[in-house]
Amino acid sequence: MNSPLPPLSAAPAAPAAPTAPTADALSAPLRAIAGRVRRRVAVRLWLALLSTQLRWCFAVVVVAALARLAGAGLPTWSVVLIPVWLLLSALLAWRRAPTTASALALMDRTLGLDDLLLNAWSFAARRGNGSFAREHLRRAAQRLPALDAAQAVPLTLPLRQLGALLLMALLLGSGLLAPLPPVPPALLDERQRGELATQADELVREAAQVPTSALGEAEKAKLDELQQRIRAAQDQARRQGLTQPEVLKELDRLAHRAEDLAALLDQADTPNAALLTELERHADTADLASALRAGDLAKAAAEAKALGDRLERKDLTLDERRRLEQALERAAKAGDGDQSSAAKAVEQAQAAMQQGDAASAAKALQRLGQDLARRQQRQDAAKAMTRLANRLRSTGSRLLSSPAGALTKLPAGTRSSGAPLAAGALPPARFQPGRKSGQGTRPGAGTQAGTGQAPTPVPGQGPGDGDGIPVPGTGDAADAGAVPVPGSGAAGAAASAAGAMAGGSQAGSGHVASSGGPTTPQAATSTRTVTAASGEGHSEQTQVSGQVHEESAARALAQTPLDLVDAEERALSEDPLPAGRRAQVKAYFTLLREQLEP
Amino acid sequence: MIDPTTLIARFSQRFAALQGEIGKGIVGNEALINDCLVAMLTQGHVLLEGVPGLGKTSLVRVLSKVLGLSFGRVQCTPDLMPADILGTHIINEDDHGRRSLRFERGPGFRHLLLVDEINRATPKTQAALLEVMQERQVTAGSECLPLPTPFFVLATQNPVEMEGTYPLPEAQLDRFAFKLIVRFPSREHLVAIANRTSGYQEPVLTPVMDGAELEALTLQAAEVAVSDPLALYAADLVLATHPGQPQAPPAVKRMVAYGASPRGLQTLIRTARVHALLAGRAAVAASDIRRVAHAALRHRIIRNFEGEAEGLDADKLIDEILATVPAPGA
Repeated sequence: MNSPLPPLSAAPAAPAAPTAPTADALSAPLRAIAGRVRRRVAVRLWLALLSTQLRWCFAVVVVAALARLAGAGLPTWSVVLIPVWLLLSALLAWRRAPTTASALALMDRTLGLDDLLLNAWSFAARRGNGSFAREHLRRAAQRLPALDAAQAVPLTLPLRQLGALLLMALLLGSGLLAPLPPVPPALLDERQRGELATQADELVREAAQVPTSALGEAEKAKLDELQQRIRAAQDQARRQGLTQPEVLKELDRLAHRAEDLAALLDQADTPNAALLTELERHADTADLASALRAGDLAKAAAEAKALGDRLERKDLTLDERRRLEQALERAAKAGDGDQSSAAKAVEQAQAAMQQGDAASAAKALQRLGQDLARRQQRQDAAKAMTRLANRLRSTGSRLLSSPAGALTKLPAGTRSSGAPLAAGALPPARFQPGRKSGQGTRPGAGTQAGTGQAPTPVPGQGPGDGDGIPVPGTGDAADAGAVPVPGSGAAGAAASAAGAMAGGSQAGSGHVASSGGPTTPQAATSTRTVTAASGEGHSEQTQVSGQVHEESAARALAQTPLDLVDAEERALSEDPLPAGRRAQVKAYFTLLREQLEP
Repeated sequence: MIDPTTLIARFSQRFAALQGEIGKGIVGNEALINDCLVAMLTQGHVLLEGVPGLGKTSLVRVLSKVLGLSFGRVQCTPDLMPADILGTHIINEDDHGRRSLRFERGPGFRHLLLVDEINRATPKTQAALLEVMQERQVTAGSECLPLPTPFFVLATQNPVEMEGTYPLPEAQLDRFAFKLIVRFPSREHLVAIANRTSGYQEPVLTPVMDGAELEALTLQAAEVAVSDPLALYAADLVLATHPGQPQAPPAVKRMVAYGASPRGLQTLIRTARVHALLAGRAAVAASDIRRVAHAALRHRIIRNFEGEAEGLDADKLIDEILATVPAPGA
C-alpha cells in the first residue's frame, strides 16, 4: 500500500478550527452585499429601460416639433413629464430587480465564487448545520469583506442616452416646443366701429319698416325683440373693446332670428293642383285660380272678394249662378281632402250655394279674400325679414372684407404677404380694374397705356343709346364723376400724381406708389344702366375707381317671351271674350308659360 | 472530531494518490478514471461502454489492484446462467457420508465484480444482478448472503455489436450510478500505449488504500453540505428529463418517453459532493452537479419511438437541459 499518509481513522484530532460565525451573524452582511448588488442591477435595468424607451420619447419630441410649426406643441409644464417618466421607469426596474438569493447567485457567477454566497445564505437561514456547512459559513465570512458589488455588477453610464435625455429636458423646459400663443381676437378700430354704427342705424330703420299689420301678438313680440337687439348692437358698436368674432356672432344670431321669423310668417297654404286646375277651367273662377297658382295673393284676394261681392249683390243671372255653383261643386270635389284655406272656402261656398244661400257663399268667398290679403301682408313681412337677414349678414362680411375693414397695417412698401412691392410692379390680375374673373372682359378695356381710346361698343347698345359709359382710356371719363376713372388720361395722371387713386393710370395695368400708407378707400364712382337695343332689356354697370367693375344683365334670356305672354294675358282680360273662350286662351298661355319658364 | 478543512485536504490527497497509481496501469482516459473513482466513492456501480480493445477490462483490474479490492470477473455469454454469477447449491458429502446442500459462492462475492459484455447475457442472467447491485446481497433459497463491502459492479458493453445482444432493462440501467463512454484514445495516447503496454509484462501496481479507507472516504464525502437552492437545482435537472414536466425542453417533450428516477437525483448529489471535496470546498456548487450530469443521467433517459428513429443523442439532450434549466438562485 503506497500510503505515505496514515489512514484517516488513525489521524489525531486536529486543533479546533476557528469558530465559525453564527448563521445570524452572517445574514446581515450577506443581505447588505446582496442589497448593493440588487441596487446596481436595478440601475442597470433602469438604464436599459430608458435606452429602449428613449427612441419613443424622441419620436414624441419630433412630433411636438412638427406640431409647433403648425402652431400647436407641448406646453412648458410638460418638462415635468420627464422626471415622472424617470421615476416610473425606476420603479419598474426596481420591481424587476433580483431577490437577495438571486443577487448573491449573480455575484457568485460573475466573480466565479462557486455558489459561495448563495450556499452561505441558505446555510445561514437554516438551523442544525453540519460541520461542513459551518465550515462553508466560516469561509464565506472570511471572504465576504473583500468582495465588491461593483466588481460583480459594473455600471457603465450610457452617455449618449443621458445626453439625449438632457437635450429633451432642455427643449421641453425652454418652451421651444410650446404651442404658439393664441392670437387674440382683433378689436374693431374706430373707423370700423363708426361704420358698424352706421350700418346698425340702417338696420334699425329697415327693421322698423317691416309691415306688422298681419302679424300676431307673438310674432310682433319677436319682431320687437329683434329690433331691440339691433338697437343694442347699435349701442355696443359705439363702445371700445368690441372684437370681430363678437360682432360677427351677434350679426349672425340676429340674421338667424330674422330668418326664423320670416319662415314663421311665410307658411305655405297653397291649394292642391287639382283644385286649381278645376277652378281654371271655369271662366268665373279662372282668374282666382291663376292668381293662386302664380302666388299673387293680392290679386287672388281681389278676385275672391270681387266674386264674393257679385254673389252678395246678386249681380249674377240664373245661368251665371248655376255655372258658378257647378264650378264650385267640381272644384270642391277636386279639392277633397285639401286643408288649405282656399279649398275650405270653396267647399263652404259650394255647400252654401247648394243650400241656395248665396249670402253665405258670398261671405265665404269674401273671407277667403280677407285671408288671402292677410297672407299677402305676411308674405311681404317675411320678405322684409329675409332682406333684413341678408343685410345683417352682408354687414358683417362688408365690415371685414372691405379695405376699410383691413385689420393690419402693412409696413410701407410691402405686399400683403410681407414681401416688398417693387416699384412699377403689376398688381395681381384679379385686382386689375376692367376685368372680372368668370366674365368676359370688355374688348379694348385696360389694354392701352396712357392714350385715349374710342368708346368701346357695349353689346346691346347702339350709338347714342343709353347713358355714356366711362370707358377707361377716354377723356369722357373725366366727366363721369368727382373721382377720376383710372386710365382717363390727364385726369388719371393727375389723380395718380396726387397719390389719391389706386390702380394706376390705366385700367388693367399700372401701379401704385407704395411709399405712402394704404390707399384711400373708394366708393362706387358710377352706376350706369345700359339700355339694350330693340328693347331687349337693360344692363347695369357699377364702376368703382381702381376696383373691379361689375356688369350684370337685369334680364334673363327667357324673360322677353314671358313678358310677351304676360302682355297677351293682360290684353285678354280686357277684351270682351266669352268666358269659356277666355278660359281656353288662358289655359293656352299657361302651358306656354310653363314651357318658357326655366 | 476532525475538522473539515483537514478532511478536505486529505481527501484530495488520497484521491490524487489513487489517480497517480492508476495512471501507471492505464494510459490516458484520465477523465474516465476520475469518474470511475468518483462513482466508487459514492458506492455506485459503473457501466462502461466502448468498442473492444479500449482497455475497459484492464481498467477494472487496475482499479481493483490499486484499491486493494478483491476482484471477480464474469464474461457474459448468451448461455450464462445466474448461478454462474451468484453461485449455486451443491451437494456436499461430509466425512461421515452425510450429504447436505452447500451454497457455493460465485464470482459475484468479490469486492469488485467485473461483468464483461453484460448485454450479451440473457435478461434472466442480467436480472440476477439486480438484487446484487441494489441490495448488495444474494438470496439463495432461504438464505440471504451479504456481499463483501465495499461492493461494486463494473460492467462493460459493446455498442457496436447488435446481434446476439440483450439490451439492459431500464430497471437495471437505473442501478448503475454512472454510464461512462470509453473514447478511442488520441494519437498521443496511442503512442504512449504502444510504448508502455506493448510488452508482455504487466505494470506493477501498489494498492493505495483498502476497502475500509474507501468506505471512510465515502462516508466523509456524504458529509459535504448541500444547500437548498442546489438541491432544488438538481431536482429541476431531473425533472427536466421528464416530458410531462414544465421544466422539460421541447426536445425532451418530443423524443423522451421516460426520464431519470430519484436514483438519478441521489447519484447527482452524491457524486457532486465528491467533486466539491476534490475542489476543496465544503459545499456543493452548481458546477459540481453539471460536471456529473452527463454520466449520471445519460443512461436513465428512455427514448420514445421518435427519439430512437431520430437517433437521439442523450448527451446533447442533457446539454440542452443544462442550458434550459436556470442556474440556482436565478
